[in-house]
Parts: sequence; C-alpha cells; structure tokens
Amino acid sequence: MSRPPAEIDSEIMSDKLDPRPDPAASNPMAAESSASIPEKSSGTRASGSENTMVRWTLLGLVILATAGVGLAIQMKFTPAGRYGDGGQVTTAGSVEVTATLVELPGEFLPNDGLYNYAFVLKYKVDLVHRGETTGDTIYVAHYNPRKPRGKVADEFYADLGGTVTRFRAGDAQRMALTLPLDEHYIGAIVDRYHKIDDKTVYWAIWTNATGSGW
Amino acid sequence: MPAVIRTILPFSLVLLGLAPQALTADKADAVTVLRKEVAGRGFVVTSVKQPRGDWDLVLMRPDGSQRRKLTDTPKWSEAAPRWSPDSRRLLYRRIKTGTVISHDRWGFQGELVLADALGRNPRVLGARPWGCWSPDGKQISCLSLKGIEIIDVATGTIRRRMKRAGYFQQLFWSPDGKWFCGTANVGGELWTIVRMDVTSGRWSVVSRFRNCTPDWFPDSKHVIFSNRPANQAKYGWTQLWMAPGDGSSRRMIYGEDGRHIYGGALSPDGRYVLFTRCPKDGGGSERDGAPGGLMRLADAPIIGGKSPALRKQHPDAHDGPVLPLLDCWEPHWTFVDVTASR
Repeated sequence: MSRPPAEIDSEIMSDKLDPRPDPAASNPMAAESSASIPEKSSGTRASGSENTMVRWTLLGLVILATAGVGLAIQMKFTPAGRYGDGGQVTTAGSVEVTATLVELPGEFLPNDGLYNYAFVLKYKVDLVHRGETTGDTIYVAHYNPRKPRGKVADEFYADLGGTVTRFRAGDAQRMALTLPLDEHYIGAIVDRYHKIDDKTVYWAIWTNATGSGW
Repeated sequence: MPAVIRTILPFSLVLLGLAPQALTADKADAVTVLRKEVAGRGFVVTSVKQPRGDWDLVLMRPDGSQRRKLTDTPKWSEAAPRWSPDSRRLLYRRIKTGTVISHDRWGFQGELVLADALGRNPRVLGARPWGCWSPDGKQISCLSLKGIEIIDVATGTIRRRMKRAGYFQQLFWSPDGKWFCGTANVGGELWTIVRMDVTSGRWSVVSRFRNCTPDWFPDSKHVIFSNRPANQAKYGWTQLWMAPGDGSSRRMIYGEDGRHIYGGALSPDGRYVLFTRCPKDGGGSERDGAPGGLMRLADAPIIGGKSPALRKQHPDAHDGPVLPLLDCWEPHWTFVDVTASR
C-alpha cells in the first residue's frame, strides 16, 4: 500500500537524519555532566516535608490517571450513553428518532461478506428528536443487519455506525435516518413488507441502543 | 453354464473394461475438436491475477493459446475489460492493488479507463460506475445513485439521465441499443434480472430470485446470467442460465455441483459460451480467479463433474465438451484481429 509522501519522509528522517542534535556527540562535557547527576543527588539528603509533598503529588497523579482511564473505558464501551445519543446519531441524516422494533419479519440472509444487502424493519416511533417522520410506524432499511452496527461500515458505505450489536423485536433504538432510500443506497434490498403500497423506507445511518430506556 | 455364454462372457467383460477408457478418449477427442474449432476465431481478453497480487489484462486466442499481457501495472488491477462494438477500443476498470475486487459490485470500484484495443494509451474517465458501451461506441451508460446516465465519450458530458427503476448493479446495454439488462430489486424478490426499454423506461422481469451478472446475447433478444436456484440442498451452486428478454422461459446452459459458474459471455456469433467455474462463491474476483471454460451453446445444457443431484433435474444434459481455460475473471470475446495494425 502506498503511503502519503509526508509519512515516508518523516520515517526517513527518523531513521537517517534525526534533526535533533545529540548532546553527547556534540559536547563531550554534556555527557560527562549528565552521567554525574545521580552521584550529586545521592549525596544530597532531601528534607521530610519535601518527601511528603512529592509522595502526595505522585498519589494525586496516580488517582487522576486512574480516573482518566476509567472514564475513557466507560466512554469507549458506552458511547451511546443512557439515551443512545452518542456517536453521529444527533448529527447524521435528516431525521432522528427513538423507536421500538416491532418484529423481525423472518430470518436475515446469511452475511459472510460475500453478498451485501439492506433489510427493511418495521418500527413504532416513540420520540422524534429531529426532523419529521411520515407517521407513528416507519420502515427502516438497515445495511447488512447481521453485523454489529459498529462494524457495518465498509468501502461502499463508510458513514454507517452505532452501538446496536443485534436486532431484537421489542428493543428501542435511537436512529439517525435519511430519505429517499434510493438516493443513499444502491444495492440489494430484502423487503418482506413489499406488499404494503406507498410506504416510505428510511435509510439508517446511525443506530444506537438506548440502554435502560429512552 | 451354456457353452455360448461361456464363450461370450470373457469378451463382454473385456469390452466392459474398455468402455470407460473409450469414453474418456471420446471426451478428449471432443475437446480437441472444440479447441481446433475456436482457435482461430478472434481473441479473448480477460483479467488474470498475478502472483504479486494485482490483476492484469491478458489477451489470448479463444483456445487459450498465444497468451500475452496487455497491462503490467503492479500498483493497479485492471478488471472487467470490454472491447467497443467495433473492437477498436477497450473499456476496463482500474482499481488500486490491495483492494479486494467485489464479485458483484466491482462496477462501483476504482475508475473507468478507455484505451485502444490492446490497452495502450489509457485515459481515465473517472468513477463512471458500471460504464458500458453504446452500440455505436460513442456513448457509455453508467449506473449510480443518481440513476442511469448516458455519457458522451468524446466530451464526457451527460446526454441523458433516467431513473434506475430498482437496478442496483451490472447494467449492460444491448447490442441493438434498445434495451438495458441488469440486476434489480423487484418487490421483495432478491437479485432479479430486469430488462428495461431504453427509450420509454418500461421494464419487465427476465428471471426472478438469486440471479446476477447478466449480459446480452449478440441478438439482443436473449440474456445470459448466473442463477443459484432454490431447489438445491443447503447453500447450493450457482449455474449459468439463459432466457429471452421477455422472461417467458429460461434454461440452464452449464451447471456443476461443487462449482459456482460466473462470467457468462457469448462469442460474437452467439455460438460459443465463455464462463468461469469457481469452487467458492465469489472466489473469481475476490481471490485468484477461477478456471475458465468454453463450450458450444448447441451442446447446452452441459453438466460438469458427477453432480448427481443436478443430473436428476436435467436428465437430458450433456457431459461436454468443455474446453478448459486459464484461471481468469470476466472474459470478453471479439472476432476482430485486434493485434493487426489498423
């Protein structure tokens, strides 16, 4: 794979032409001086109050670091938050709803990465956060529904995502949607509601689980 | 045991023992005859996976002889070549090496390239999804989210735009210019082959359920396509089928349990069929290509291998002959001597 020229340049620089001067190489005195620091410090006895301050500072830093890591882990694994408002759900598409999946109309097709398709699901709208819907019941096409939404984006549909890992009837999901479907998706569609005339099918861009409720 | 039987029995056993050998010899002879029959009938261009990882365009005689590379570009894969109707130019797709070429969405990948008949002087035309020649070679049709677009080759301007009417991949323009065929969503049916009137936009179904990679016969009246029928155990195997454009009937051309048949293409006179036989579905483009094959349409239906289940469904099918070709993907055939300086 080709890389950006800048990246290649920086690698060459770091391998062969490190622009930073090597103090030890350019100034023999500097090397001598740095080597002598431990000897000097070992010969100096720090006062008790200084030791205490250093310990408290270190403890504070450890606590801060631990809290930071904990927060990062929580954000990573619950990006949608309690209300499913994480990721691109509040900005993507033209409509944002929290809706309950009414049913699974038969099994999804196998999806081993070979055949890709969108599957139409039926939802009852619980809350419209942004834009307008065509009614209380909406139909939403989800790309490759067997895949967790966090892994569904590919080279053809790079902007898809979300936290839903599987679709289950009765689950509430917060979704960023767009219309019309055929201006945003060109591919196979499995529509087991195809006999319903004149229905509007939304394209799901972002689909989050809503956690304990919306 | 009567004396007569004692006399005949040894001869009968010898004859029975020789029969399989005789059949094998007959099969080999039939393939040799087919090889000689097609060897001088123009040229085939196809994509061939290289050991270094990219795909290059390869030119060969229809019997696989006189093979030579038309492109040799390690950083790019050249895919799905098609000569213009007059065989003076070549359209193909250029895709970055390292990209897995999708067996059914390759028309959305990379860029469309226009070159001379031997792949020289390439000119990149941009994304131009599913770019396909018009009958006079002055325009190309494309399929994208915007619909079906007819583009002037010389200027690159869009001459006409139509709704895509459910088409989502593999749009091809008929040689007489009257029709499109392609894979479409129709109702709840999956992967349906649809024919559309280029002028009116009216469409009709050619074949329903699990079809793809359609292409036109030279007569513009029939369509060749791959189909994985539902009446098979488990996942099933993809077979090569044909149907009239109005979808009034359909019949199998080639099938083989254990192989997925794709890349169906006709010779310019419609008498011969090219295809690929892949043991893994999609492996033609997504891996290293698949063994190519060539057969007479008059010998259809042919069933390859043992294929007991398939033979039960098609008891009148032939065993061959099928001329084996190199591992390749999406072959295309011309009767014109493209190597002659013109």
